Amino acid sequence: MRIVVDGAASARLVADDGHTLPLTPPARYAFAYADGAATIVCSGEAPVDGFWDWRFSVDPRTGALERLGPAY
Amino acid sequence: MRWSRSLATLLALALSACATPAAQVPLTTTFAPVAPHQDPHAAWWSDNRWRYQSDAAAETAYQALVSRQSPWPEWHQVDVKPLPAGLRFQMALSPGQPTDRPGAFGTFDPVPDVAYVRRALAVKVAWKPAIDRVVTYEVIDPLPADTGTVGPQIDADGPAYLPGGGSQLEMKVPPAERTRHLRVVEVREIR
Repeated sequence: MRIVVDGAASARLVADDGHTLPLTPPARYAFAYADGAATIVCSGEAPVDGFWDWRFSVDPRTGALERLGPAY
Repeated sequence: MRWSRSLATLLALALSACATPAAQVPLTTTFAPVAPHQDPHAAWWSDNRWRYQSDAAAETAYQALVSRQSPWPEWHQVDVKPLPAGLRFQMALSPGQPTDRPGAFGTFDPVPDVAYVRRALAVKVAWKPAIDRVVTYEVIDPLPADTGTVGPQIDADGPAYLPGGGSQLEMKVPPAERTRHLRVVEVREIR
């Protein structure tokens, strides 16, 4: 499984069997890059708790994103 | 006579200090990996307790650091000013992180290895789980930024006390505008 970022508003989860799941960035965030098998870094329109960039986990079944913590 | 000899000694010491170039971290220097601490709280306490009037105040500051994870030391005074064109700085990158997707933070230190990123730049594992490159950027358009010293962190992954102490800048423009101010000078791998 891997995450491919195609653009600020477009990314997809690619399963080992080739199936893809489109991902949608959270409201007021843009996709930046994927640096893990199941996490993606998004940049916000405004800082939250002092940080612009946040790492999100991706649910491999639903594609739902959950904010994990700041990204450096 | 003894007084004048002491004065001369002091002057000589002062002059020799001025003549010595500021210590820089050579790129060949490697830093010890951040070792897990049995007690990161105790390690932070050893370095930082003196800053506070009481144990209670120090403990409050420690808990604030753990919960808020401020990248700046508590004594930092925010002072956003434009970094001038021509200024260069470095930034650690994750595997898969393109150079046109920089983070908000950089350093004016030469980054020799990942251990330096963890220890002196206090980059927690959760913030950047893997690091494989360092990019040198040059400012090409004045870049509003806050600058100063990296504050300490408590890294739950380890667990470890990351003392910080390196230099740091934080870009104060929206992420989509960062690259408009920068050009890539060099990218090199680090371990």
